[in-house]
Amino acid sequence: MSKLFSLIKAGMSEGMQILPYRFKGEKSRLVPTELAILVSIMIFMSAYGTTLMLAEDGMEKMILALYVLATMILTIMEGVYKSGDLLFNCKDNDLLLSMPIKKSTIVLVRILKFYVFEMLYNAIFLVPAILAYALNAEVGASYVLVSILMILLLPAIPIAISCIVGMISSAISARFKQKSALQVFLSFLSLALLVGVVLAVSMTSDFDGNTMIAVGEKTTELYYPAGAYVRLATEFNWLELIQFILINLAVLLITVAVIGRFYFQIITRINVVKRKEKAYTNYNFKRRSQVHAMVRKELVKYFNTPVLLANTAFGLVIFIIGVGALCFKFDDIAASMASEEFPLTIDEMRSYLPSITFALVSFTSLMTFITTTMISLEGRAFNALKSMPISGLKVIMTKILAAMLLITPITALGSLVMSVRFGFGFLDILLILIGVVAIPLVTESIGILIDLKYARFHADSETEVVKQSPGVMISSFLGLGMTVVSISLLFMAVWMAGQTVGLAIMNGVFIAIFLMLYLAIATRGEEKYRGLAA
Amino acid sequence: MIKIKGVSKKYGEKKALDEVSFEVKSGEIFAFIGHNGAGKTTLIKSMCGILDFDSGDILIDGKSIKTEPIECKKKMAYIPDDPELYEDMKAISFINFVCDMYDVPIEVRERNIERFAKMFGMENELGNVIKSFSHGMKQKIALIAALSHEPKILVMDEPFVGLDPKAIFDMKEVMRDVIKKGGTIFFSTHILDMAEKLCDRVAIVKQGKIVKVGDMKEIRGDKSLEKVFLELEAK
Repeated sequence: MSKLFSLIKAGMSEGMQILPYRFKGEKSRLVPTELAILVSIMIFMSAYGTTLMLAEDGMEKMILALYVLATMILTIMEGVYKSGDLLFNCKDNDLLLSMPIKKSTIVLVRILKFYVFEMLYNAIFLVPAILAYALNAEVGASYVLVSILMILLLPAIPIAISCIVGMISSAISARFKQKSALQVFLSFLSLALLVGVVLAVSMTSDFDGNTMIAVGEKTTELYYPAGAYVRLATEFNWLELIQFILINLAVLLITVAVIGRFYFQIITRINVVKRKEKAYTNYNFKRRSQVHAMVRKELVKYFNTPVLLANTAFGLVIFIIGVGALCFKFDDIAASMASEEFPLTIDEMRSYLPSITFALVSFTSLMTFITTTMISLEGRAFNALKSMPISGLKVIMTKILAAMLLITPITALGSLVMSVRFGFGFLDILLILIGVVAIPLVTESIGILIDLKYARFHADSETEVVKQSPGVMISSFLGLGMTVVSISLLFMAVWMAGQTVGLAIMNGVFIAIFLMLYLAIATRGEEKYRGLAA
Repeated sequence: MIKIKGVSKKYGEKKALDEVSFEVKSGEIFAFIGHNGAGKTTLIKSMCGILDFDSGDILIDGKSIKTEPIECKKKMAYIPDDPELYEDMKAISFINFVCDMYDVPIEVRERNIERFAKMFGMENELGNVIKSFSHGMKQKIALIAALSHEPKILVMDEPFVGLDPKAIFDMKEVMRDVIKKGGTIFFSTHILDMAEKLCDRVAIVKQGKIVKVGDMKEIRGDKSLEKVFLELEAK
């Protein structure tokens, strides 16, 4: 037991600075708790409002089912494409396998590490819903007990699903040369299948009346943990509670046993690297500038890190879907929105399309932080880079430039397609294109500053850097907040000063923020860079 | 060529380097030896501008690594003990990338890469991605990359770790060649035998302090370097 606890403590300490090994008197360094609390407060406000609406029909309990559903979907979406790497692609595999520890214990530690992270992440969403319900219904001590148990146990099933999917995709991809790319592709395929199942269920369901209540009821019916939680919260029952605990633990233990059974074969295959003699006779030597060479290096890293690619492609995919939907289905979308309650007619909506395009660009750029991991992903090679005759500022700026080259061509092209399709005026096009450059300059500058502060050079795997580091958590929450604020400001500015002036104001704001960030990078950022070593 | 003037560095309360001072002259092979955790890697990283130090200064060819880091780095090549390189790059692309950082002319890089790749038996491997290489092969790639820009000063942290006997022999040849061309070599090692045979001068570091520095012959007298080192450690 003490061996297991030591392993768990080592894993948590190494991966997330939770339960860290510390010297006496050394202060603990927690994950950015303040930001998580801020996001929780925002979620609480939304959950409270929704609970009030549900309470009108006497169905306030459905808030619990809805949030359990949301966290389950989030956990599975996150989990399916990171579980493979987190379970099988860890740097300490050789060390742990050489020790007198059962393989199932190693698997249990890996899963627990994943579990704790997801539990904390889920709590950000679940705790506000639990509080919102408590404030709108009569609850007793049993509700507190049940809710604590729910927070502790709810990740079990989504994590079991994610781990099994991760194991299958790792087992298949381990047989091929492009292992990591195939693994991400298979994970996406599994995710698409899951989304397909959810859609199929929702299409065959009859959602009459209040959709939220209908979704909540369907969730309690089909997803056991949601049903059990709602039942236990409204009518406490010891037997059901024990049954709930046992089912979740059993699911987790069966998962550990199944993965433990195939663990060794999978990691053995993953570690096999096929190599043939390959001379460089046809290599085309070119003399490039430092900036050019650095940007090329960053792009090679980006396209060879599938988890980073998948993680940062989300905003861009939404942008492409958004542009496609507006170009081909604008009339249908506008018609479905136009009603007596909606303040704009279809023609008015059409006239605001430049602002909508700008909002889409803002959303995409503010949700895509590529630089947040670019320093960390250098790993120990960072020392070699620092020994080269290139300034810290130049390194930082080339990373921002590389990220810009990944985002702006897509947003610029999409904006131009929108401009041509709907015949925007020259000034509006120009202002949108300025935004295409100015907004990602802001996010990528923030991203690199965050990574300079929270750089992790010794993570177990690249997936941990990209998915489970404090810097990435900060940038995701920050991106979300900035998106809401900037789109609200945009429409306020357009409403008050007119479209063209509104877009110009927003560009002015973003350019001013970038200039301040550049100053911060050139002073504090460069200083931070000098202080970093792998 | 390298002047270390009263360099101190603390990690928390622990002094990793305590008023370290010595000089490495042009054309010397200089060994830096000490027990594990004595401060060897800290000093090497400080010399190469990887780590900031708290006080003192390091001059590379008369220029301070603190105030003119780029100028200093242009003259140096650093080879780490654990050659973690850009794993997703092909070896040849990585070497070319390093040459770009040092602005090496095409004909110079072509000539040097060909020469050192042959010397280390890597000419048929440079087209492969680095992550497919063993530790020793990565070490050789780091060496080829470092030598391809013809540095005046070669700074190496445990350069012989992970190399096969043939590569160690070639490495020694390369070191002699660098010296013949007027270069300077500074390296840390635990292989005292090697240091004794190869080096002109040596510094012994103990708990962040230099306890002995000088000509190899003077330091060891009629004893072996190993014996001198062990006697100093025992004090």
